[in-house]
Amino acid sequence: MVAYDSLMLLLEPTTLAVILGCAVYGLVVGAIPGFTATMAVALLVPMTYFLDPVPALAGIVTLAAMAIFAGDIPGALLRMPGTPASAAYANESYLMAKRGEAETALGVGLVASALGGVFGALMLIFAAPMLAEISLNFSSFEYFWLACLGLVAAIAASNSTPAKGAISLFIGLTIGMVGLDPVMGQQRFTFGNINLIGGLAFIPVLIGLFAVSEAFRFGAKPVERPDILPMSPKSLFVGVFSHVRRLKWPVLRGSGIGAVVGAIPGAGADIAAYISYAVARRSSPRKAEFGTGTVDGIAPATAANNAAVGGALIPATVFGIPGDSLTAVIIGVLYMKGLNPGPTVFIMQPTLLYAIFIAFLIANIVMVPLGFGAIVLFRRILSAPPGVVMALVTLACIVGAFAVENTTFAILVMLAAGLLGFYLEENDFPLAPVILGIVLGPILESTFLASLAKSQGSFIEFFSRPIAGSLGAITIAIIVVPLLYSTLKRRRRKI
Amino acid sequence: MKLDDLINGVVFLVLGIGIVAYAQSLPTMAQIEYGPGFLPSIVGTGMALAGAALIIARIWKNVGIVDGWFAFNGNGLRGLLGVGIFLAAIVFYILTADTFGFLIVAPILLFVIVYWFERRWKLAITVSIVGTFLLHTFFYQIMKAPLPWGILIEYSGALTW
Repeated sequence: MVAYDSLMLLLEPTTLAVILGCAVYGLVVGAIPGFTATMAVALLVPMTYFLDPVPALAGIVTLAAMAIFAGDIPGALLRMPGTPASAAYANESYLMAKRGEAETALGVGLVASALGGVFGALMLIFAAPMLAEISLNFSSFEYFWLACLGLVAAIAASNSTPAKGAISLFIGLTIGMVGLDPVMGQQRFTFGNINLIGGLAFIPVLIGLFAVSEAFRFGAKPVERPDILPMSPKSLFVGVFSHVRRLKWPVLRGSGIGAVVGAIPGAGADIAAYISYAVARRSSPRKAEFGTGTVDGIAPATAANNAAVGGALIPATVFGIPGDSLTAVIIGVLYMKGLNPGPTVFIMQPTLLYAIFIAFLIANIVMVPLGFGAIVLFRRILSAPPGVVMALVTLACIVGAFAVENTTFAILVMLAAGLLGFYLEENDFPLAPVILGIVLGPILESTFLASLAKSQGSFIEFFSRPIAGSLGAITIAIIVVPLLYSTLKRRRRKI
Repeated sequence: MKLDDLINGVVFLVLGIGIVAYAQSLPTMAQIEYGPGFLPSIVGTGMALAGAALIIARIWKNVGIVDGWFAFNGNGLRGLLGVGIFLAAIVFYILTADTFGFLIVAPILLFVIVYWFERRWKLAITVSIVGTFLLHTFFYQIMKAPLPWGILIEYSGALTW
């Protein structure tokens, strides 16, 4: 019954139009090198502000799925992955394209992406409610450790040094603290400015960090694009299905890896693709072909990054803990739409939530025809003058930040966040921990204080419940183990 | 703008200490041991320690060295001006939109950016008109966001399509 009601919600003309529009938008932005999926979502968020929850969130998850696939296209034809998630196998598909097998690389990639995405969506539909049932017994102690785990894992999974990851995280937590504190309603970091009492608005900060910073980077050094390798769309699906049939088990394994890795807080689609590629390489009977351009490397890895999106939505919806920066944004939108993530949302508003999950499933199925269209039109997408695209992005940023807050101050916040994002990226500070800090900071503080009040100030209580204790141990291990490992390594080297 | 990690480290060390000092100034309540200053103290301490770690790594392991303390990873002066164009465009909008209105400021902003990067004035004019029309239609007419009219307020009825 819930499934039927959810489907009916999706079949409304506005919802269908939003999903289709977001699919096309995601494919176009994902296919342009230099634009990230998070930037595409950041620009979309102000538009969804004015929509009902189902079309808004269905649009965002559709966009996420499409952008991750579309990143494969410039990876194969330009050797420039459209999004970081495609980096693991961009070389493999480029080498195939150079041999004149671009159609096979992209065709197999498209079908494997769709299969991985469907696997991730099914995992989400079936695993999330089960996990929600278990987590109904969670108290503030478990949520505190989950928030800590998300933050620590975000640093561990970032490509930068732990010190720089930590600084990014602390910047995010500081941004999240601006406004009234949750205990006394005391003003913090407002410095007498009435615009700051309500806190720094999430959307202008998000747009600044991920889209305005992109404009600055483009201004400093426009992305240079090499020549596009030739490709004939007519033969895109020739021989593809025999490859997919042959690779069904590696694709399934890659999808499983993707869904699980995606669900781990901090690890995203790019890490899932790298792990899946490495596992496929180790277990393949055609090991020697890896690194020379083979679909055996592409299919499992591209299935993994698409499955990871569904996986990352599991902790995001069940606990409100983001798996990566993309899901951090989705959590922000869930709060904005009154669908506060957590196990109770599965009981209170199952129809809305399942409508979003089903939209994600459908998005991964229609990815095949729409993705085909994106591959065919890739040359045309890339012919859009980058200066025009960036000018429109900048104006959309300004209008988007203004539209949700109705104040010029929001544009100022966006500009400051843009400069911060530009500075951070230029100096190799990762951006994902910043956004995770903003989303998780308030949860961390309120659950910590609620837990302390319950335990009457005793810290032992934080470890005395079995799940809370295990989560606490994992969190501490993520911090301590790498430190111990590097100290031991240094000592051994001295000996 | 890439800075030497020694500078980055000092910036965050000082900022962290500043946050801790600020946290101490926040009031506490007798019944609540962990008041509004608790999380800022932790965050400030963490930031200062991470800043110190950057400084130590820079001095001991030569990590994050930049010749001459800072470097610009862009196309020289043209790159700097490219960043400046976006910065100036946003500041220009903030300062003038309320007075002159979206329909006057937005086309100027689009024209300047497109012309700077593409050097094609016909394209720049087309984008500035079509882009303004599309964004105004979407945000003002469909999404009902109150984009400023400025001096065009008297013509708002005629300009709403």
